[in-house]
Amino acid sequence: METDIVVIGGGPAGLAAGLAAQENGSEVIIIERDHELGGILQQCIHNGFGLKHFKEELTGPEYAQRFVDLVKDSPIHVMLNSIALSITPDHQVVVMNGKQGIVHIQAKAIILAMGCRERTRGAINIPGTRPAGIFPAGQAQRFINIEGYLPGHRVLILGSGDIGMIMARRCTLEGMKVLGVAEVLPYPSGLKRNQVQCLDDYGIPLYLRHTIIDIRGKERVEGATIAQIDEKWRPIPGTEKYFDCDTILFSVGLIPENEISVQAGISIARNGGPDVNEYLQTTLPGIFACGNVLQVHDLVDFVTEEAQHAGENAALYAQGKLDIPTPSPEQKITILPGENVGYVVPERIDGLQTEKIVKFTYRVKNPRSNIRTQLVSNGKVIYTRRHKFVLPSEMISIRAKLKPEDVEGEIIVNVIEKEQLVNIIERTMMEEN
Amino acid sequence: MNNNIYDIAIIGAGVVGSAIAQRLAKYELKTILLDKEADVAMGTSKANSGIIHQGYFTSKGTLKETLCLRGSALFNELCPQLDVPFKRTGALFCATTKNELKTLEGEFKNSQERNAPAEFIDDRGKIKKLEPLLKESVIAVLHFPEAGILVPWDLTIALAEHALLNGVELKLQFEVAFIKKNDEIFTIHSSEGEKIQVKTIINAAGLYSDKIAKMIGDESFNIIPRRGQYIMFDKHSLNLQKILFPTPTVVSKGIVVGPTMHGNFYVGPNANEVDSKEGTNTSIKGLNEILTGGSKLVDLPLRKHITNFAGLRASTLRHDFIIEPSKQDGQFIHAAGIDSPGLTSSLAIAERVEEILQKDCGFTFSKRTQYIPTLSSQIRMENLNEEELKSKIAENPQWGNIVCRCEMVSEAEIVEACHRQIPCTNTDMVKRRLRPGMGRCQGGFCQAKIMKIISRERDMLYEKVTKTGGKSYLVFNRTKNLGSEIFNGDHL
Repeated sequence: METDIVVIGGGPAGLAAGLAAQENGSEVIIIERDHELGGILQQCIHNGFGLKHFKEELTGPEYAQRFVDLVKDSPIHVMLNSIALSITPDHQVVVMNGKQGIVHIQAKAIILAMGCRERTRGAINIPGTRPAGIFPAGQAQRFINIEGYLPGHRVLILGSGDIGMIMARRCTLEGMKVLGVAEVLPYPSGLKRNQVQCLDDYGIPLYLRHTIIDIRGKERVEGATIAQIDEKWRPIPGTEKYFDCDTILFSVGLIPENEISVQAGISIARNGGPDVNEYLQTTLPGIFACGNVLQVHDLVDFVTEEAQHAGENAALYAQGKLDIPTPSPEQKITILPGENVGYVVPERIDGLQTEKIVKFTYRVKNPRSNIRTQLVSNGKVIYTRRHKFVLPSEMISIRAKLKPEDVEGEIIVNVIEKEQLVNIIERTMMEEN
Repeated sequence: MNNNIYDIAIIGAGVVGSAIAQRLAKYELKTILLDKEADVAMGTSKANSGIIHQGYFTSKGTLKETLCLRGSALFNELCPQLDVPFKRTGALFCATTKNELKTLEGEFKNSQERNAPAEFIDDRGKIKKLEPLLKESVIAVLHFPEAGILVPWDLTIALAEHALLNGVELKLQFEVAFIKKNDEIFTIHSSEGEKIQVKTIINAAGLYSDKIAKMIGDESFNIIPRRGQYIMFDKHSLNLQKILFPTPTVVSKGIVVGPTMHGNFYVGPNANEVDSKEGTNTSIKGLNEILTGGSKLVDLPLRKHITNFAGLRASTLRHDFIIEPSKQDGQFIHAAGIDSPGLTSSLAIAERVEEILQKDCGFTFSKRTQYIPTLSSQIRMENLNEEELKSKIAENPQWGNIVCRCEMVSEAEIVEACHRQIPCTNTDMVKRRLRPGMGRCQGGFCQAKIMKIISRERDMLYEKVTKTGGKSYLVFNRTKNLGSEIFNGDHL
């Protein structure tokens, strides 16, 4: 089988990328492992989606459906119940499903849109027993919203990520008792609006700088103990609180799902997503990435925007029109997260022959107010933007006009106080500290 | 005589009980294997290091020494016969101080006396070659090239399934409440009121073997549960060649950094006596202890752990295995006090129990006429090439439906696991057989789907599908007053 573009994943990223590629003249196949399109949006039945993209408030399934309808009306070919087993640097995709068996598709370009998975209890080494009743928040969401079953009665939630807070509200609405949300950070790790609408409005206590130090129960969870932690993340004796719960939900972060990317030889950046350039092209030419497989987004609207960009570029690539120069070592521009920045997408700029606008997306490590983003290259500030406040839960996105003569070697992205210019040496020292 | 009377009842379907059952299945005996849990290998057998040892650091003349060496040898034949993956990776005991080096030299001599192949190496270059990941601080190693690894529940399940294939009966969720004896016949009563009549009992009840012994008035030993905690790391996060031990102390063999059969690696165990026989909880202190211990041998990758767990060793003050008829009753045979190297010794323990049955219990064994000597394990997608997989999917589309994407497990494999000799009736049973839920997502994506498959294949209400059996329910009532359902669809 041959086509122009294969999109791996039929969630919001894959749908928008596929549509953009198709609108730009490419023949597109979308591969989806589930029996329907829409991805995780299908289980996000709460509202709040689409305010940026559609200027109206939609539920997850509604947001997804708008794109699903467009795909259905387009010549895009969708393979459902299908899993991409592997991809190759020369754009072959091996797909498996029960109907066709194993299919090899030769594409001109590939768009990775596989999404992410939840970090688990084991990944953060929470001790205790291992009874039933311990779920990643997203799994509990699936039980309630898709399967129609209650995963418990009395719930403790670890992690104030958006899914955790949304599930606190969801569980409450379904008649479960949510005893509290514990969060290791000194501030909630999800969006402010979710804290207000999902916890505060329902009187659910949020225990900041707390973690679970013990889980009890042999068959089903029987209880859990949380404790406050000190600056070195050690539990403080005497601060323990015991909860008589039968369910513990973990909302402790999302991890881009890049197994087939790694297998194909794509380099992975520090945030877990593929290392991409300003065209969202990975380290393998003609393979692009977008959505949560690239970076975990706060809002699906931004996923859509990013995916459209990837789709357009993939279409250009497939038509031989995307002219990305292979930079010589001297021309190579690396983007580095600096002061208070966790990661930056893209990780590199491959084509800066003339002045151009480049979009950067990133997250800060710590909340700050009255602060600015600074792009620094060669010791000089080449771009500044003010922010009233910045939060780790919110993805920041800027478009910076870059001139070739201003940039040399690397660009450091800092989010710092006014007048404070951090150079690479200081940055290294800060990291060591 | 009454047909309902069994010749032999084995209490406890851990690796020891299952090995005994598998061994006795060769003969025309009416044997039953009993366990209180919903699956075999639910106690110590499912939470240990999975190492086949070479007799090292056992005391001279003990059963542990003899049966460890004999047991290890028996795996060469048994593993291919029962299709159990087994790899002799070799183990390194590592010394970082002069004192430790002396201990290793001493053990090297002991190993020569035991005729266990070993090699003492104090050349850094050679050490580096054997295990490039070892830290520079390791000045000498004692190499046991024949030490190996396997998945302990793989072995236990295969032993039990092979026994079942050859006529042994298995009764799960049968918790022994008390035992009576009348006219040379034992009656074993379960906590649910079931009864089993039997001539000879083998006590392979692991952590509870003292409790079972007391049921016939035998108070000759007490089990002291010694907990060992472990941390499991993601696949390919450290490519270990060898099982790495520190230099053992009198208390334990120390905290191991070891590879698994599936490319993961683990750190553990520590050793603490605990009060409860169900005390398989991990603790912050314990987890820190094993991370510190493991870090002495290699640099551990940060944030690559996928789970932590604890197992309990069934230790006694005898510090040796107890494999003998009870002094209270010659027809009641202990296979108890099985702590390390219990897994290695399991096959030899079964051999020893067989000898006791012949010698002391008056059994004359006649070979089973229709004995099936081999067991085939399930066909696994990961072992099929593209052509084979294509033809499997053509036969049955469920082969093309991936349920677990971390470990690549298809619906067809899970369906088969629901219908094997020991049918899977909970999600952990499927996990131990096929690994869905053992990967990096730890079941977040696949558990709900596996529940549907079990519901459909075992004709169970969805909410009655548990994690480990008993009351380990994963979901309760339905939302919106929807009715209870047995899943009966195709779309998981």
